[in-house]
Amino acid sequence: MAGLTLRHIEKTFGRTTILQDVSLEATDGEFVVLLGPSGCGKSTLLRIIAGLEPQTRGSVQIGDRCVDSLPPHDRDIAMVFQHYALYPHLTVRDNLAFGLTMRKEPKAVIAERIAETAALLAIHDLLDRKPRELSGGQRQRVAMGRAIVRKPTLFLFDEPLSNLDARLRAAMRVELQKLHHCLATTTVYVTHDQVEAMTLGQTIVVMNQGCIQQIGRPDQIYHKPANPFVAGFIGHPPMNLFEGSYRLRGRELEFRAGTLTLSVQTPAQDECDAGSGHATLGLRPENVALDPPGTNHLAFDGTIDVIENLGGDHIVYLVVHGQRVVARTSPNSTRRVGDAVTAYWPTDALHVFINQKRVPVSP
Amino acid sequence: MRKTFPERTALITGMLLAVLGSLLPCLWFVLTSLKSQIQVEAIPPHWWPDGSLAFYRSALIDHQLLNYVWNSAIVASSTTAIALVIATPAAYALARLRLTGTPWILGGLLCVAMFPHIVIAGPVWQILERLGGLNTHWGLVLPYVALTLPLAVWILATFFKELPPELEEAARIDGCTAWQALYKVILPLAAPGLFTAAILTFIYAWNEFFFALLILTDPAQQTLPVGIALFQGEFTMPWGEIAAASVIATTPLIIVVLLCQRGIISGLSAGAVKE
Repeated sequence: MAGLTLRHIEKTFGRTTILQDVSLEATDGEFVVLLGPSGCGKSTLLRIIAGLEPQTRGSVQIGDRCVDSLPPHDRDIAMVFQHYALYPHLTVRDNLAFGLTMRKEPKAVIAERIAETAALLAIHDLLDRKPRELSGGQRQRVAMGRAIVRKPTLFLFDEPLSNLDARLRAAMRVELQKLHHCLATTTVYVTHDQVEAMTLGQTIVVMNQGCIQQIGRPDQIYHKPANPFVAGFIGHPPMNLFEGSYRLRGRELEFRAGTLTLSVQTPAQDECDAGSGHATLGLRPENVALDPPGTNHLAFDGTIDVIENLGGDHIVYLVVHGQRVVARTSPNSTRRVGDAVTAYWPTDALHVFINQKRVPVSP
Repeated sequence: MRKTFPERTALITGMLLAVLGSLLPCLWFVLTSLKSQIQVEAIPPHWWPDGSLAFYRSALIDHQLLNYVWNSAIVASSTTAIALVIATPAAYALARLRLTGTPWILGGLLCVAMFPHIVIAGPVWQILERLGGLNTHWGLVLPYVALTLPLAVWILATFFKELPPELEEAARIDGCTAWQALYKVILPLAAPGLFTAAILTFIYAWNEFFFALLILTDPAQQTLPVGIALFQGEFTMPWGEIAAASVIATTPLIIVVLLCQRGIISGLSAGAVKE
C-alpha cells in the first residue's frame, strides 16, 4: 500500500505541449479521479504514471519510491484499459494468472488468488472461457480481475466503463465503489463522465488543455468551482454562465451583462484589484427558482422559451434580459411556452469569477 | 442477396473454368506418370493410363530423385525458418515504433522485391564465389532469404498493425519485457500471419529455378526443379519420368500448404478489445 506523488510533470510531443506542470498527491488508499474533456491530457498522465510513456520533465513517486527510471512491470501497478485488452488466446483463468506467472509466484498461491478474485467479482463460472465468449460487461469484470489478482500498490483505470451501455455502467459504478471500499488500494481513475467522477472520486482532479484546473472533494468541485471552466464542466444541465463586466464600489460588486445588472457583496477585494474589468457570473440551474424562495434573492422578469419534461424534473429554458437562463424545477403543468415568469436567484448561490478565478461573495 | 438463375449459372461456370484451367496441366502429368512408355508416345494419345509405376521406379532409382527432394527440403525449410526469424522482429519494429522513416523503409522493401532476378544474378554469383558459397545449400539459402524477406516483413507488419497496442501495454504492466510481450502475447495472435508468410516463403524456395540453376552445378547439391529439368538428355526427352518426378515434387508442397492452412484461422484475436 502506498500513496502517489506527481511533481511538476510536463509532457511535450515535438512542439505540442500535452501536459503542463502537473503536480498531484494521493494519500494511501485514496480514490482519485482525473476528469476532463477528451484531449485534456488525462490519459497521457495515467500512462506516464504507468510508465508506458516517459514524461518530458518532472517525477513520479509511488509510496516512497521514485519510479521514473523503472519500466512498467517494476512499478507494482495494475491497469484496466478502456478496451479491456484481455489476452484473446488465453482462457479467463490464464488471463488472471498471466501477471502472477510472470512474477514467478508459486502455483498454489496463483490458484488461491484466482479463486479469491473470481469470488469477489462473481466470475467463477467464466474461468474456462475465452474472452471472445464473454459479453462486454463480463470482459470488463475479467479485466478488473486481472488487475485485482496481482494485489498491486496502485490501480490505474483508463475510462473503464465507457464501452458499456448506460444500465451496465451504473451497475458497475456501484460495484467499483464497493470494490474500492473492500480493497482500499490507492486508485487513479480517468474519465470524461462527471457522474462517474462525482460518485466514485474521493478527490477529483479537473483537467483542461494539459493543466490542472482544480483539485478537490466532489462537493467542493461542485459548490465552489475554482474557475469558469470547472463551473461549466461539472453539473447537468451545465451552470448558467454570463460573460460581462464588473465594477467595485467599496464592498459592493456590480455586475453587468447587456441589460442584466445586479450587485453582490464581496468580502475579498484583492482578487478584483483593478476595480473594474471583465467578469463571469455563474448560477446552477437548480438554484434558479420560478416560485419565490425564502432566502435572500434577486428577481428578474423573463419569458419561457422551451420546456423539457424529464418526468421527475422540468428543465425550463428562459430568456431574461436577452440572456438564456436554464432552470431546473419541479414539474408544474400550468407553465406554458411563452409565459412571462419571474426568475428568483438566491444571492448565496451566485458564483463570480474575475480573471478566471473565483471571487467569494456574501449574501 | 439472392442471385438469379442466370447469374448463378454464370458464376458457377466461371468458377469451374478457372478450377479446370489450373488443374488441367496437373491432371495431365499425373495421368502421364502412370502410363507406360508406349502409351506416352502413342499418337493419337491415350487418355486413360494403364497404371504402370515404371516411371516412378525409374525416376526414384535411375535418376535418384529422393536426393533432390532432400536438397529441396533442406533449402526450403532453412529459407523459411531464417526468413521468419529475421522478418518477425523487423516487422514488429516497423509496425510499432514511431519512426519517421517507416513508410520509406516499407516502400524500399517492396522495390527490392520487384527487381527482376536477372538484374541481380551477376552480383549474387560473384558475391557467392568470393564467399565460397557456390554449390552449397547455404549459398542458395542466402539469396532466397534476401528475396523472400520483403514479402514476409510486409505480411507480418500488416498483421502486427491490426493487433491493438493495448495488449502489449497490458502485458508490459503484467510483468513482460518488450521481447516477452512479443512472444507471449503478440506472436500467438499473429499466428495466421506467420503461417501465411511461411507458406509463401516455402513455396518460393521449393519452386525457384533460376538461382538454383545458376548457383548449383553439382548434381549432388541440386534442388528438385533443376534436377527434373536436367532429366532430359541430348537426344532424349523422358516425359514419363519427368511427369512422375513432378508428382513426387508437388506432393510434399501440398502437404505443407494443407498443414499451414489449418493455422490460418481468421478472428483469432476476437475478444481482445471492444470491436
